[in-house]
Amino acid sequence: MKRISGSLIGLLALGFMHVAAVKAEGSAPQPPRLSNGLALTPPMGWNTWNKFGCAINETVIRQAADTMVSSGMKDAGYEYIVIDDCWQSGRDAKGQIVADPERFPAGMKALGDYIHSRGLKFGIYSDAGKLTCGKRPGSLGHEYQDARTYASWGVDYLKYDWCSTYSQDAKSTYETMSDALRASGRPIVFSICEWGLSKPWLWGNTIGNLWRTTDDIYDHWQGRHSYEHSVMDILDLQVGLESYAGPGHWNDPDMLEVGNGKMTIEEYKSHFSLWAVLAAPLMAGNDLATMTPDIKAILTNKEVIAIDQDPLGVQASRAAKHGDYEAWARPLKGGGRAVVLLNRSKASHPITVTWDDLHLPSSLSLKVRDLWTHKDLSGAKGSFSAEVPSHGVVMVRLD
Amino acid sequence: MKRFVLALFMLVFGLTFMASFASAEAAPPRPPRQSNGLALTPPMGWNSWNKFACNINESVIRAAADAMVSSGMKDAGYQYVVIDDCWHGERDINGDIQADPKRFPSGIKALADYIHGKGLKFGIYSDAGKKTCAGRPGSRGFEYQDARQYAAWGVDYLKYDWCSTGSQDAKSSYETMSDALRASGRPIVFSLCEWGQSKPWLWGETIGNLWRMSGDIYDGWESRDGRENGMTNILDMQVGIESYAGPGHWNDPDMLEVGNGGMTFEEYKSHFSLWAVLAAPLIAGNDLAHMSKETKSILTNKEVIAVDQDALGIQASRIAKNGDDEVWVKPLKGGGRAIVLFNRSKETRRIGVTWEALGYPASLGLSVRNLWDHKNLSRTKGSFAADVPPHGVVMIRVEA
Repeated sequence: MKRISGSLIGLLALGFMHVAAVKAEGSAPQPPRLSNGLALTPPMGWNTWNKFGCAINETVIRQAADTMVSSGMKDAGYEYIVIDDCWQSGRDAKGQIVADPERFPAGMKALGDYIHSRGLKFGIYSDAGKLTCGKRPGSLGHEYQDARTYASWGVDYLKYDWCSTYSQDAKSTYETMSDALRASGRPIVFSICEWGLSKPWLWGNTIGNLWRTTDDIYDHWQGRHSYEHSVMDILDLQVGLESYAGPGHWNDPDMLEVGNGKMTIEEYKSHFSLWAVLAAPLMAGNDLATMTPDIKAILTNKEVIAIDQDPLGVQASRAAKHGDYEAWARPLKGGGRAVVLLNRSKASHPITVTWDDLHLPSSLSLKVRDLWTHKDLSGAKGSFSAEVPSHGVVMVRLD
Repeated sequence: MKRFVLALFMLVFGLTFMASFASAEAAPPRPPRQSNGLALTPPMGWNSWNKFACNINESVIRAAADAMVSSGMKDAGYQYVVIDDCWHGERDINGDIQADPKRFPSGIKALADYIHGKGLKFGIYSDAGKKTCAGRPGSRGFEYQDARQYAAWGVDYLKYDWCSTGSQDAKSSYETMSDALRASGRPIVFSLCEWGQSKPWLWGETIGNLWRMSGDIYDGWESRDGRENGMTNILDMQVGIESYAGPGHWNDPDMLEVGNGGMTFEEYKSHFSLWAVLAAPLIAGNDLAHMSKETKSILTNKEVIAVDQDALGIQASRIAKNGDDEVWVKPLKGGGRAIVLFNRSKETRRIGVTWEALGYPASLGLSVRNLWDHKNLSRTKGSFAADVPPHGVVMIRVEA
């Protein structure tokens, strides 16, 4: 019987190969994929890259974890401490990935334990190619082994980059690590960092929990610098992607530059407000240990964070654009709206959003709450207007 | 200093990166890849699939190894005993692949040792996707771990299939296993079984040692009943890809069906002769322990095999086709030629070839050796012709 079923399978396999050859495809259709059930609101945390680049070690990470708690960031909802590139040194004789013993003498398991002991979660970084962007060993061909190692270290979050991938197909490459993470038995948030090259919003839904939509952000208000995008540049690239975001699967306009020094406080407030209405992952990228009260006030604005974390999980659309004056609106659970009035110009200017822009009946009276001054404004009917500073926002919640 | 170097490195990297972004590619060009130095002549051996498919176990494989030696196949040059699909069990808790414990109770290492003990080499099978064609665990995501396991078992040859690969890119998928095999530290011949879909001849040269260029062969003369890849159909697909073959990297028109019963003796002789001039891997696919004398006489024809294994490693071209009459020519080391006069029709045909068509001066006198009769014919100038039986060949070797 066994032999018969064996030949039957063989015969079926031949049949498949035949069909495959005819259709010029590689394989039979796969059953529908399910998501991993994680990140039902956009992940919040801190990542080493924007501030420290490759200059990381276990002291830097422990300090960040300590400050995440002492600064009130943890209370505000930040959870993941993510080590970006440059923690790896090589592989051992069995192919296991090894942390750089000079930078991480206590090892990754100890570091994960430390982070967990602070009530935080532990994230790590790898790459879908042979080498990471910093030329450390990538995970290609080692996916299951690496996922198992991460799980044994207590990893809760993996950022997975796209350097040295050459002709690799992005979807199946990320799918392989996605499968490997699930096979590890540990719930691990999967952050797809493919720079938007092959439109991950079209296929990332059940493979990862967030996907980068562009190349790297840099600490700048507008323009583009080689492969790097400014805040305004990335914002514009979100238009059209709104419908792909939702609980468990988010567009990722990259990590925050708030507090890294090349933009004004007004601009950082805009950056943070816009990321919040976009339902973006809020991954701080500054030096938490030395941040100023101004910066802390931005990163820990709980009313803005509540918009980002709204359980409906709808990403804002640009509801109106009149030259440099824009209104971004995000539907909230319960029927309200978060609205960001954005002034890209070099002078203060009044900006109005109408209820038509928000797809609301113009006769409707709404309560208005300013999420930066933390004050209830007078109610509005038909439209809402405010004076918006240069490169600034007014962010309100309408209920 | 270290920080400075690092910063410099990041800068350089950033610039390279920018360049790649501009050209809409994911990475900068890499240093040229080297081949692994194996299979300088087309691999010869036996594979379980064509005859046994999934009905394999360690007795079948050992019997094949025994028969490979006792039949004279080994003496004729056959070397690799390759287990195709269905040897796999599950992966263990560390993700290491294990053999099916019921079919291979002694384990793969013991089987490899047995095969090596016979003076033969040991081949195995896996798949570039999540599952093999028969639904066993594939190597996707486990490439390095699997290569390490194969090396520990003593594997000398890997056939690597293309089922359940979804949207995977073929080149990089095969490259990953190629890198993994090399990292294992053991020389392992790498057989790309991608069915020719993404033209592996364009990229396979330094990744593998042979690449399939079509779907699976079946044991028949030509396409029928919706099955496309009869022997002559695969033959026709060779035209145009001759130049991609050479020492260490061969077009693979799939394994031999000689002796499996779907073709006549004459047809099997044609199949074998044509595969030999094509410099094809000669991987027998019949039941070696029970083959007839006729089948053995085909598979062990040392003069035909010598053509296949010619050190120059040039794949034959079809230099003439007049309806059903064809002439296939393979240049040999030393300036000679192997020639297959091939008759696809159902009656005997007289087929000839001129020296001019072979690239020789018409005045050149050449010795002519019939590789099936094992007889020297009279020395000839200008041209050669012979009566060729239906569905048959006359295979000769000409030399100055």
